[in-house]
Amino acid sequence: MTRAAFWRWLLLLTLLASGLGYIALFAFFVSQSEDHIAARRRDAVCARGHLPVGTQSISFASTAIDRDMVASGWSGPEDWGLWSAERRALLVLPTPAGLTGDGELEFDLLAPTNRKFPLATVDVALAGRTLAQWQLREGVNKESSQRLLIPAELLAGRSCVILELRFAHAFRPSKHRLGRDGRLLGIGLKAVRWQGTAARP
Amino acid sequence: MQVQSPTPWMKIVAIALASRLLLFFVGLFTLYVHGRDAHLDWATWVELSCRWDCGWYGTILAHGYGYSFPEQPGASNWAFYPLLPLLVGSVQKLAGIADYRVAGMLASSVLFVLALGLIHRYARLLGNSERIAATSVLLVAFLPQGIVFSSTYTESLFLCLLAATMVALREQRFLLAGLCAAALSATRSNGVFIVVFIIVQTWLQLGTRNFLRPWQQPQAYLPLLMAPLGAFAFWSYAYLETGDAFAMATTVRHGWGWAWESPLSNLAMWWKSGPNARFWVLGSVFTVGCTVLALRYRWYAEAAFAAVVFLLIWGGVVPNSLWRYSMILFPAWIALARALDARESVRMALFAAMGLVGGFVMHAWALQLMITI
Repeated sequence: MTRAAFWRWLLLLTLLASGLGYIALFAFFVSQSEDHIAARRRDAVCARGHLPVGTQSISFASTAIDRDMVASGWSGPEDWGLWSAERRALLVLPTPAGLTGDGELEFDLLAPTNRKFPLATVDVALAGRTLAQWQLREGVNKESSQRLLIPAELLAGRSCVILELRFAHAFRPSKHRLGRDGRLLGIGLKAVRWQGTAARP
Repeated sequence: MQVQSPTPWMKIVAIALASRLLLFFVGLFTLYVHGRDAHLDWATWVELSCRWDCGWYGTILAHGYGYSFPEQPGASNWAFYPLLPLLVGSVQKLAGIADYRVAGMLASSVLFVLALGLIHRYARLLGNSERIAATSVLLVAFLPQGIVFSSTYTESLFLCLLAATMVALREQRFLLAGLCAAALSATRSNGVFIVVFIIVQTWLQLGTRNFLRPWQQPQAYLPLLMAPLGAFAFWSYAYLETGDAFAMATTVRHGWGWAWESPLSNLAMWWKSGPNARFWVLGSVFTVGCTVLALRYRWYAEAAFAAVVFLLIWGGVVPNSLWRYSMILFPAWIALARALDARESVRMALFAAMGLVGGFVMHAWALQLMITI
């Protein structure tokens, strides 16, 4: 092998190695990276501990909202609450202190249903386990109340729960001549209540 | 391929200077007419150069990465790639300039002149006449919203590095092309797509047979392998700082509502959503039209790069800055200059129209109207 050929092959091998390095590093980043904004919000809510005793309802109206609870996938808060803005949204809720058995949450929602999209389907999961599927058909932005039962084992020892909501029906009104709103609306969230636990010390 | 004719630097500096002066005078006049505090002094010029994203770059220089404003939840300065703030910070230190906006304006203006020179050279490399090369330079210099080329914005840096990469690759200066491409991918998120240009251009230069035999001329692949270095460096830094290598994508999703959708349905949606988006759409569609001209001249590598960039910017649901992202795809303007070469009256009409639109956009920029975001 000539000297020139040696250097040519060495360069080629170096280039191949760096190409493989890129692929490996990219795969590492994709598998190990975590949405840092959602993680920071989640950690902030969980670090604050349990829901203060006596708190009945968690409001998402712009005047009352704790932005850290709507960790990911939500639009900006409005005076009534806020819309989800992606196909998947994360909601971080502090749990009530002293909760022993199953927990029950009640959600006050708005369904962005209309003639073109008459059905809103919301899958709710916690720790990778689907807990409920809500189907809302009430009509244009009709208010709805939905309940979610959380098994005791998913609450044990936790100061917060991270609910994952998925919206198969989500749509952008502006794309369907239903207004100028360009957001991907899935559900409107007004408030959440832990049932029968607020007064518990 | 080498160009024998020298780059007319004096002419280019004069064009750049004239275009900057014109923009700043329109801006000053706008402020004056609208009763704002505006004087023909340095402070007003500096203030006029800095709008929108310029402030975000200021936060990187002042606080480092991770800074956010409470009034825009989820938005942070992770949305901005690091090369420009690194450059502006270096200019500040080397020249002893306290105000980052001054350093940014200085760096961008110098890079803009360099970019115009490289665009001239590239136009000649593509086999165009001196007249077409000069028209290309004029088109870029007087593009509407060209004020960003003299502001703490990435446009000048991106334009300069893009032109430098393309020139170096066409001249088969592979190491230089690789270095410029690596810097490009550290400038802005779509910089990494230069790999598309490099692949197509390398393929065209080597031919299919040699392209598939990299062991015969491995140095030709150096730019391809070096190009992603800048992006990977930024992703690595973001991962070490936040645990999220794609902190940029994360913050534009949370803070600016960015999401991927079909480009065609986005265009239709933007067209219906108001005059600002319509202006941005028209600007980007016009650039695409000029890029199609590039295809006619068989500038396939340039067209492929533009196609990927358009796929990215049209694929995001947020239409902000579509025109600004389009204007730096300079091969489109070279193609336009070539198409208009034998059509003097159309050429004049185009420059007149650009002057009108440019004046309107500069007016909007001075008043910080959303259309210039």
